[in-house]
Amino acid sequence: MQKLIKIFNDICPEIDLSSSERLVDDGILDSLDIVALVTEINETFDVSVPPEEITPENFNSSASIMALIERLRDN
Amino acid sequence: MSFISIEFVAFFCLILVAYYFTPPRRQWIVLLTASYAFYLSASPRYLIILMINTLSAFVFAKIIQREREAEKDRLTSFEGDERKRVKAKSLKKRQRTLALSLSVSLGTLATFKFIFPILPYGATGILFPVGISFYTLGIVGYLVDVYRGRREAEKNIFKLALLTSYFPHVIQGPVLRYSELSKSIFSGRRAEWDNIVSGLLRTLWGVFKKLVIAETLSPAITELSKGGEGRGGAYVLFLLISYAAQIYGDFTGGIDVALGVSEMLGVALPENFDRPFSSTSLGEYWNRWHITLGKWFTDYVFYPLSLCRSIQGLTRLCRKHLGASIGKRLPVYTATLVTWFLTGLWHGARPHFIAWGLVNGAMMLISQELRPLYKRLYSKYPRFDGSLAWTFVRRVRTFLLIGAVRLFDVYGSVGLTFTMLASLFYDFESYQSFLGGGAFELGVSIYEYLLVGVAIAAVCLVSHLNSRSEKKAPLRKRLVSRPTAACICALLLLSVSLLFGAYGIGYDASDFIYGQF
Amino acid sequence: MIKKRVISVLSCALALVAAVYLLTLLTMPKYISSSREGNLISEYYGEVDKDIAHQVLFVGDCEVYESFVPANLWEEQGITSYVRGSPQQLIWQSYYLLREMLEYETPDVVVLGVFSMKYGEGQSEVYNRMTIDGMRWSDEKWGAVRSSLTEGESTLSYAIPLLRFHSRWQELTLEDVRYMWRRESVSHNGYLMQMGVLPRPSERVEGSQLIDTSLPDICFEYLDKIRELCAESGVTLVLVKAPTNNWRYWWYDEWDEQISEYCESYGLDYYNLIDNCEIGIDWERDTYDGGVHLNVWGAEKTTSYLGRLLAEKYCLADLRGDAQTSRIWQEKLEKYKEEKERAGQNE
Repeated sequence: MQKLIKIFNDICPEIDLSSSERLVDDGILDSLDIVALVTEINETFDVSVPPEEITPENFNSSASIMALIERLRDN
Repeated sequence: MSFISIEFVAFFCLILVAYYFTPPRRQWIVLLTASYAFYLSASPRYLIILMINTLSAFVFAKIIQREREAEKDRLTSFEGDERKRVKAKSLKKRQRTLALSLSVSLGTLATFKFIFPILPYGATGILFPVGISFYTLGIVGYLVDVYRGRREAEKNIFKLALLTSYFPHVIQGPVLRYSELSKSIFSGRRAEWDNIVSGLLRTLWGVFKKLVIAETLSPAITELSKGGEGRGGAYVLFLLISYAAQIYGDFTGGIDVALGVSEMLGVALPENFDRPFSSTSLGEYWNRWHITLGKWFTDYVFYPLSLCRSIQGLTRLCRKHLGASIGKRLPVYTATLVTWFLTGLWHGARPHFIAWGLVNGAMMLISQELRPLYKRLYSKYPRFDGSLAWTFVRRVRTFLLIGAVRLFDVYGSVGLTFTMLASLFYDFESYQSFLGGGAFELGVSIYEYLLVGVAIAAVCLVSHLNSRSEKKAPLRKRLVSRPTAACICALLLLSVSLLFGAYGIGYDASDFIYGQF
Repeated sequence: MIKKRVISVLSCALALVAAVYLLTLLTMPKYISSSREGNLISEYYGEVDKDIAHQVLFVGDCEVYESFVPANLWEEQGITSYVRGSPQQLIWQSYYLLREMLEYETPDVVVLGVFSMKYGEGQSEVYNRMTIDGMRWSDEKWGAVRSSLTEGESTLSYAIPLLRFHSRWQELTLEDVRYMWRRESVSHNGYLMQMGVLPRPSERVEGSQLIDTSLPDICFEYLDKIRELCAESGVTLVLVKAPTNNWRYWWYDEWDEQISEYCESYGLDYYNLIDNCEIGIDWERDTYDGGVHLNVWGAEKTTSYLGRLLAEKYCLADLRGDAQTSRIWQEKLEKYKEEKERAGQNE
């Protein structure tokens, strides 16, 4: 989780991860941010987030992003 | 058959009655018949293209599905490295099938959009197949979803045929995701007061916007879009503003009719607009305007492109040799521009559409780069952030920027657009001429401008009321529980559209003169 | 709940019909301060509603409604008549109008102006409107609509004129509100009075050379229909060409021949009044637009002549002896004379 927060602060320093449970739905995270995030996540956690997993449900909060990473790691 | 015609009204009344008198399980067949009948009346020659595309998508999706299921079966008898090999082989097969299917769909679209118009015997007689831009995207999305395993291939070809041809969406969209649509369109329903009234109000609202706002401004826009002498400077700004109003009225009005009609049938379609002119930034605008198109290109082009192996590899390479800053930008920005290029191309194969796409993309990237700057500004002057005045400034800025880019669309030529935009800054005579009443010599009278002004105010009011609701329910849904109020609104909308709408002979280009023999 | 909904839907539908009706009445041109000829067709119903019958019915375009004066026919011959004319009335429109009138009454004679025989197809949406909008709903109205539609016109816009005239919302004046329901008549039994004087130039301009000198077939088809209709109803059909003959409105010899031939083969009477000395038209004083149409003095002279002819040849009774008829027509005559005097003072 800590690693995720660090990635976030590096990529989108102006966004406060804990500010919302609807990061995508409220437009706080846009598609460019998401791509940058996912690129970093792929590198750091050694997973490969497929495009179809980029949904509001998976990226709306830090918890859901973490859950996605866990799921991909298990597979 | 256009949506706003007596034929369509008669057609739809018939469909509505037939639909609700059919048992729920068979209702989708009524929709299929209606959609094909509608398509036949709109574009009879090209019904065959729609059918071929549907058949192709059906067959290919089934092949992909079968291959995936076969893979699962085969895998049970293998282990370790063998498993990897089988998986890879199966994947390759599915990829090939997908590629083939996409080339059929996209190939048909490309042929009509790009190749036919430039052939020597010209485009005369080769009209554009209605809806091909929309159903092609729907089909591509469907094929990719089946490939990714997000959904199963449609087992019934007629059901797929309904998804591709569903009549409310063939004229102006929205871009549909068949996975979403199939959740509601096949389950029948009984006639419900709420759906019918709410849908009817929405349809009438769309008709109002189209006839009273968009059509009224048409003559001025046609005149100004010619460019040239005496149409520069102030007139460019005027065109920017009126075109924004016109395209808003036409596009959102058309979508309101499509969604309203579908709502009356109990089938919910995705929203395509969300108060677009309240956007404070370009990024926000593209989340509020032509939403389904943006989402489609993001999900099916931008993400796959920016996350594909080659781009990721490029990212790593750039990072190693050109530094982290460029490394994280170059590949993503490239993907962005490619996506916008394709978005422009989807609109049409002309240079000005492509320019429109690329300029939009470039502006998005620039605004992305400016984000840290703004953050610093807000931290230095905290009063700005969230202040009403600054929000207003941002909205106007966004409106003007987007309006300027939209001029590519109106002028239809890259060179002319730049020339006219430049004239904003040096054609001072035009400002004089405009202030002297130039706007009233464009085929639109002062009364008509006033009418448009009042109509726009009404639209703003309704938009405002919609956003203020706690349950986020739009006004029309709140009216269904008040039959009298709903009826008064419907009556008002229809009467106003009939009286003030710019339709019919009285609005022909040819002068209509009474009393002159 | 259901009851409330049903009631609101029904009342909404009713309110919509009422709104469309009112808006139609509001936006339709009233033809009072300009284009008064737009009112001619509908004024006939004033006679119908009062059960006034006529011995002679005139049908045709402007050469008819500005050349023949029913008041004069009454004054000099005691003949009752009505002129159902309208601007650029086409022959098929004349047919349908005649058919409609014959549903209401059976005159002795029908006088048909022949100038419209030159138009084989719809000419102008404006004139279509002036001729057809004034008709009451009837089979004949829809017949006239169907045969007259020009490009861009729709039958629906005749059923709901709001669809055509809504664009007038910008030009609405007090007149549009005042005359929504009732209007005073602009004509005298269909005759539209013209008081102006503009002499016909002495250097008369003849019509240009014709490429095709034959009158359109479709016009003869409708002429046949008119003839048969009159025969069926026991009405005598008479064809007439008004005395006016000028440049764009030139009546060609070739056409005259064709009409004469037609009438001969069917035993119809045809009177070409052009250059008829007996009528005594003074082209310095009797025309208001340089010889294209007659003013009231020219029209009275023409009617005088035709009246004598009609009375002689067609055994039309002199109804001045009938008390009731006299009363009605005396009133009409007085109104006519009043306007003539008033308008004369204004000139």
